[in-house]
This record gives sequence, C-alpha cells and structure tokens, in this order.
Amino acid sequence: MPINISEKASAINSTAESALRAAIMVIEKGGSTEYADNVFRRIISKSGAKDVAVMWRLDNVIMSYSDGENTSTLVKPVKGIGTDLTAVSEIIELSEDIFEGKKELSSLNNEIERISRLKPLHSSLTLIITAAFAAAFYSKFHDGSIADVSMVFLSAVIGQTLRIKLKRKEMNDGMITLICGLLSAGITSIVLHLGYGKVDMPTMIGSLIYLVPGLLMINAFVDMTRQKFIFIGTQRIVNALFLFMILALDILVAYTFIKL
Amino acid sequence: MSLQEILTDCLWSALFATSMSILNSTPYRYIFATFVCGFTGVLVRDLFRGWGFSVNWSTLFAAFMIVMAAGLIIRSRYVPPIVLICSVLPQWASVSMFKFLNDLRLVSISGGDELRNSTIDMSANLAIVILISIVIAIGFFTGLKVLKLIFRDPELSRQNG
Repeated sequence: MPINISEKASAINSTAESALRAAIMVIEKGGSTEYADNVFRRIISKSGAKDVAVMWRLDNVIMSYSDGENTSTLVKPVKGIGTDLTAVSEIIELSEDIFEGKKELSSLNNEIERISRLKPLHSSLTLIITAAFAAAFYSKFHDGSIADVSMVFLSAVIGQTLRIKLKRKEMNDGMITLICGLLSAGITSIVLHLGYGKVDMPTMIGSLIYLVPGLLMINAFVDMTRQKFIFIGTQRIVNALFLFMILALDILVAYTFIKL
Repeated sequence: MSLQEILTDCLWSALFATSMSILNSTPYRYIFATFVCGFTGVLVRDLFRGWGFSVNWSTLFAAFMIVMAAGLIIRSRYVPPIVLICSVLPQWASVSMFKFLNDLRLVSISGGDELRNSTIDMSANLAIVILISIVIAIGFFTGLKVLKLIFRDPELSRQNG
C-alpha cells in the first residue's frame, strides 16, 4: 500500500522527536555531547529526514530537518544533568541496534521509556561509603594522619548523605554544592578548631572532594577536543568553574572559623 | 622517595581514582582498569621524578602511560574518557587550584608586602594549574595517537572495547 506524503512526514516527525529525546537523555544522564550526537544521527538516519542540523546547548537542544516538502524545527529543553553512565551505555547500544536493524524503529519509544526507568547503578549507601573512602584516600595520598583521614571520612559521610537527600528534592547543583560543602568543611573546621588533625589545604579539599564536578569537567574536556562542540563545552567549563568557586567559598568560610 | 613509599602512594592514588570512578557511576567493567591506571600514573610520575625529571615532564609521561595502560587492559583504541580522567585526578593540581582561588581573595583585600606575596603566589598557583592541565592533555593526546597505531582495525577494536 503506498504511503501518502502526510503519513511519511508524520513518521519522520515522530522519529525525529524520539531521536532527539534519546540524545537529550544521554546528556541528562552524564554522557558527552559526542555520544549524544552519535545516538541522534544513528536514529535519525533511519527516518528518511533530509538536511538534518542540530545545535547542542546545555539548556536546550535545537534541531531542524526536512521531510522533502517542508522544513521543521524542534526545540527541546535539557533538564537537570545527573550521573548514570549505565543508562548512557544502554541508549548507545539501543541506537546501534536500530542503526544495524537489530531492533525495529517502532520499538524506540518503549525502549527509551524502559531505559529512563532503570534503577541507578549504585545504591545510596554505596555512594555514601564511596564518597567517604574517596575523601579518606585523597587525604592519605596527601600524607594525611589518622586524625585527618577520620575527619574527612566523617565529613564526607554526612555531606554525601545530605547531598543525596537534596538531589531527591531536585535542588540545583550550585545550591547543593554550597550547602553540602559548608556542612562538610564546617565539620572539618570544628574538629581542626578543637586541635585535632593538620590545618592545611589538602585536608580541607579532602572533606569536599566528593563534590568536585568530575564528570562535568570530563565532558567539557571531551567536548572541547571536538571542535564542533565548543559551545556546549564552554558552557560545561563555565558551569564547572562556578561550582569550583562555590567550593573555594566553602573552604574560606571553614578557614575563617578555624582561625577564630 | 624509597620504593616502598612510592608504592604506598600508588596504592592510595589508585584507591582514590577507583572511588571517584564509582562515585561517577562508571560501568563495572571499567573499574579495574581505573584502579590499574591510577596506580600506573603515580608510579610512572614518581619514578621519573626520582630520575631527576621535573614535575611537568613526569606528569606528561604519567598521562601517556595511563592511556597506554587503559588501552592495553580494555584492548581497544576507544578508551572511555572517564577511565582516563579518574585515573589522572590524583595528579591534577587540585591543591594549587584551590590555593589560586584563595589567593584571588587575598589579592583583593591585602596591601604592601602581603599583596606582593599573594600576587606571586597567585601567579605561581595559576601557572601550575595551567601547565599541569596542558601536560596531561598532551600526554593523553599522544597516548591516544599511539593506541590508534597499536589497534589499527577499528572494528576489532570496537568488539574488544
């Protein structure tokens, strides 16, 4: 049965929407823009859309395409950036399967829905313990004493617990970094004020190391090395620098308290 | 530094790198690679420093060896950036970065000798941050180019990765 033009345009439009949704999910789950772009292009290549162009930004993603008759533009928002690299791997595999014909295009929306409902790779308890050990190992790497290591371990446990609770309330990253950083650095400064441990920069950084925007910096670095993603890479770098400034502010407040 | 001190440093560094990778939800299959690369990076850096190289050259060789180790463990030219970055994190100039931000504040409120000292400190810390970041980038870039020569067949590489 021949497909009329409006049905074809509708199918292209539906696939374009889904491709963009999958690609945005990659960014929202902590993947680099190159991964998102690859996912998008693999899926859209199966739709029959022509003259596809996409502009990647950290707040919105804009794409335009032609169905042969008309040109359409889609703008979709990027909601908060989280961390779930397992979901990113799943989306990449899905796009490869669709590209290679192992999965039908019609199953795309259900698969995206399934991936969006995947449980995080690690439980909250694992993340709290890992953050505490990261702090302890960082301190030990910088020749921290037992007192320093215990102090940053405790600060990270309490800070990361609060961080997970605040994330569930969908608070923005800057505010979370400020509050949790103040709490962790505050605990460290109280213990140091009482005369335990060594007052130096590595000890203070150790108590906040779990808040360092590592994945943001990684993605910024990856984006900047690909010349076509410089804009979103710059946005990520500015975002990471902003979080670093907040962490520095947390440390300064803690230092001021130690000197009282 | 004695060999025992170097190896102890390597262990803490590798454990720190591994913790950061778990915290960033790295897939399980890359966690072992991160541990080994974190260990290798500091080992290479400290050995080169022991042989009289500057910290910049030592970090460059360390970054290069991190990429090589990651590529050989994963057996692919497509090394996940998260493995590289988490492995190199212990060597990044984090202390200098925070000291630089603190110096920015000091420069704005100091005068006389204190201002001069703060300004010199600020320039030194900024230079360390920039140089260490650049040498890490060069080490990674060179390592990835060499990996492409080792794993010439992209398809085979993709299957292994």
